[in-house]
Amino acid sequence: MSSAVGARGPAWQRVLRKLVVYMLIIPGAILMAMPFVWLVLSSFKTLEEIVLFPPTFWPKSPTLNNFRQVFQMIPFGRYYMNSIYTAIVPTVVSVATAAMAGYGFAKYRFTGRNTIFWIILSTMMVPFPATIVPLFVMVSKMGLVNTRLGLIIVGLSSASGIFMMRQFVMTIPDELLDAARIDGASELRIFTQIVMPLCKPALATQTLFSFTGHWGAYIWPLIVVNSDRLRTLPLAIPYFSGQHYSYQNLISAASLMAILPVLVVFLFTQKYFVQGITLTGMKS
Amino acid sequence: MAVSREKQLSNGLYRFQRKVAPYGFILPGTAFYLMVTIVPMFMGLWMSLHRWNILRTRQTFIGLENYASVLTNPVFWEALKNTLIYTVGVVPVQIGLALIVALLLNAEIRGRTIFRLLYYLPVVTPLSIAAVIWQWIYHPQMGLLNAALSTFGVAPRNWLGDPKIAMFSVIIVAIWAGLGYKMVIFLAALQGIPESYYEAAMIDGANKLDLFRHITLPLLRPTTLYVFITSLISSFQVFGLVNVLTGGGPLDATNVLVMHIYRRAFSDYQFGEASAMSFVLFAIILVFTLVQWKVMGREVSYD
Amino acid sequence: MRFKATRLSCIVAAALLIMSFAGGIGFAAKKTVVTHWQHHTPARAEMVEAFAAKFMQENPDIEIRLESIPEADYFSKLLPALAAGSGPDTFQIPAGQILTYVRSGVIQPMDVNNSAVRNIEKEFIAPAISRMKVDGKYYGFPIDNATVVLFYNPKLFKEAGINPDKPPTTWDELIAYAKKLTKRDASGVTTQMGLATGGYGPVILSLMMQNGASMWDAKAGLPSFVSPQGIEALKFATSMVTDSKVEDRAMGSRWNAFRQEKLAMVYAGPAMIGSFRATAPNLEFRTAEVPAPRAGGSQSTLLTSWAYVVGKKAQTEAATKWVAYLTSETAQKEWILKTGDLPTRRALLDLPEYKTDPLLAPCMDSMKKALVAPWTARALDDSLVRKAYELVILKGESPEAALKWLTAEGIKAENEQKELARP
Repeated sequence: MSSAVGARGPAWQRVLRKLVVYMLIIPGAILMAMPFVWLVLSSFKTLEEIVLFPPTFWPKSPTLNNFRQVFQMIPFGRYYMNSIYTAIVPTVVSVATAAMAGYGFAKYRFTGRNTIFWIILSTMMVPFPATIVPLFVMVSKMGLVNTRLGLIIVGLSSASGIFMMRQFVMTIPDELLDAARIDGASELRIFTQIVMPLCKPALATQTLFSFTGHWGAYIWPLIVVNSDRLRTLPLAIPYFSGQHYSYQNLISAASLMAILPVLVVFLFTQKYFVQGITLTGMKS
Repeated sequence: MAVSREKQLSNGLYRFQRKVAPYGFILPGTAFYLMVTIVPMFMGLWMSLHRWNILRTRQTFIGLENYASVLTNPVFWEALKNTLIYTVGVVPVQIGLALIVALLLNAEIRGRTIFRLLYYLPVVTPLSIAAVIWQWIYHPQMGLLNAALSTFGVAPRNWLGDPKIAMFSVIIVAIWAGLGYKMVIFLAALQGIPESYYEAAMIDGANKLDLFRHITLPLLRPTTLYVFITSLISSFQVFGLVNVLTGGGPLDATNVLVMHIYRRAFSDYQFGEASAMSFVLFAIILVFTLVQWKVMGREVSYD
Repeated sequence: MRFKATRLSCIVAAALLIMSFAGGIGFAAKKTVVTHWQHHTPARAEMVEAFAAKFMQENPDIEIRLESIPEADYFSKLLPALAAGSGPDTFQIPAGQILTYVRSGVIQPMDVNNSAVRNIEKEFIAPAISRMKVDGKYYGFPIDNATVVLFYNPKLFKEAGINPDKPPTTWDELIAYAKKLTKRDASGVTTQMGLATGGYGPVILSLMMQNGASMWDAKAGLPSFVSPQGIEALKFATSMVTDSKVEDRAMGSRWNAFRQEKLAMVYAGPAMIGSFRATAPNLEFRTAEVPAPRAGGSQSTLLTSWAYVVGKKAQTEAATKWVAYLTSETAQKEWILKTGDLPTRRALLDLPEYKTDPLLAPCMDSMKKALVAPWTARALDDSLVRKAYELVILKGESPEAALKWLTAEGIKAENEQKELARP
């Protein structure tokens, strides 16, 4: 429906439509962005200013000191690198396996298809307090406590990723795949050269979600990591919190620096939200 | 040549490939996933049949006693009720709003990528920071909401401190926090609807509403099913957001089930009871999901 | 020939050198590693790192590995680790949990050959170590000790015509002062609160203790809160919000209010000294011992404490040395200075430099009068009591009904705790 809004009708109608869209979208956008804006501004405030209530808007005496202090007090750079590793590897693996599995569940009929799919879906429904300790004991018996593999092993595949890819792949017409089969393409070729290109928005979305999730993972890394060598950003930021007060200014500066890669990934994946998939050779 | 190709298709090798391929495709994802979920899940189930003190090596088997005590415990039902209110309050509204925003931001207006980023920001904003802002918005004396409402003559309220409205306040924050996530999914799905469908329909004289009802909505159905089901599953298990906003109070008004389970396990050392509650919740979520699937899961034909 | 001999002797020399090196390393004692987990605050982490560095200097055969965990997530990390057997060698637990941990077999008694352990009863005040002894052996040293004191703002006192050098000494005086210190604007919105408790468990329990409420059924070994003194104490706390209206919950966080001079008096733990100093360096504030119910009455407050304990798998001698070091006299002086944690060593409580410190002196006195709770269930220290308070304030229940509820819940919690700690 994208071009439908812009392209049709007399000019004044087009302008009115765009105006309506803006009027509806902007108030929401302000509310959505408010905490983030406050985060950005807080990164430049001093501790005394930041504890004031009600909060001030612009920093009274803006300072870059917070950023400097973050790096001084903790090995922030190393934590950053650790986060990059523990986010990228599981993201790549889980998106790839989700795409494959989603395709398998969507476009094939095979024995056990529904059973396996529902088993996967069901495991999403068990609350984490029931499974976190057995999971940790299992990982510990495998000798993976405080190791990189132990950190990423729980993120190598994602049930919701498999589910989502399945739903997206389902929208691809079967005729397309059959035509390719008649042309002699192997199953793998069909997957890589026909299905995947059509799933670009889904793959981009899943990459974004997977990265966002792994980047911000807290509970599992908290339990598994016992040394600075492996510590990731979400574990590092509570360093500035205490029981009775926190260095909210440093938390803000650190959090801001920690959010940036996710925003970068967002803007990067938005490129793949390209409208218009031409489907030639289709019977209609 | 075409003839021999079709002969090839019924050739055993191709048939074999087609039969084996799906297992090959689902294997890595399924294996990686089940490896870290199935064993802990059964372990948790085993724990639920015991009085389980995590510090000890031997545990007392008590069969279904945990389940009996859970199902007769008013605190459990209260927490379940809170969770249901939360889920019913968040899921439909959040998804509806996300779809609207996605449709609006699918239009070719200037700066739409920036708007999309803004709407996604709550998803990446750390919960603790979002909580600071929302606690300010909701502050009874100096909060933004009461200030705004007072200009309309509406009396101020203690949004997070009044047991009667605390859950409502939490629901608003939950909708705010997850909307961008659903929006991105809908945007991706909208990309998959070929322009040609709309063009063909408009040539046939369809108006905007028709386009939405007869093309967009049906073609979004697989995505909508996914969004509804995953929202349902995660709303039933909400924990972090409520924990950081209200800690379950005031007076347990926002005590959701997973919070209660967590507290019973990690503060009271009652892992057996916590596991039993987890599996009761699991059963409830499963039932809701099955119902949802039956209602919404009609497959659409694409031609 | 000579050339060859030189080469040969060089090689032999080198080999001997390497062997002696390796042999040297072999002979040097292998380092005992002690992993230590504790709560995190930035000040505490820094301080304990400094302790560890010094300790390792003095004990080159021991390596300390520190892990500082945010308090809210402490048990999320500790319990799975203990379950998997990958837990730390030394860590902290609430003092009331020691019995459970001992009976569950996850901690071991401290090294009896360690002099600090042998002298523990001589050097520490009794309430601080009463829960650390099980079956005649000591399992930990006290840490994170907190009592309750009264913080107040002298400037606001002066403005209200009250002598800032004479903080209230009785409950009646406290309320009278609070009323003078409470200001409202034209529309009735509170602009300055006179007093706040926040409904915080230890504060409410302290009020009950001061009033002589028994809180415990000794015969049954279970909590029992319904008593005239208990009801009176709870009523006193809730009346601040409902009757005299010197505490207004609509003002939000009492700490923020105190920092911004919108709250004149607040019950708090001594650790708030450090908090106010860091977040409101220009705020002038004082501490005082809590007022007694009536003249000459009790000023007891609840002592809450944790303990550094030694894990089952730890090397007893090294681990005990470390926890003794962390709670030694020199260390406790650092604790009070850097983090506001009160000392529990008799020698320190009477130190002249603390007696003359206007902020610390009332805190030291409060420690001398502090009492330990008779129960072990943690929920009774704060969360259940706070709920009882909220039952009165938010739901309008009578204090007696709230205390009946608290007793019922407390009995459940304590029974659970007993089951966990069964032999």
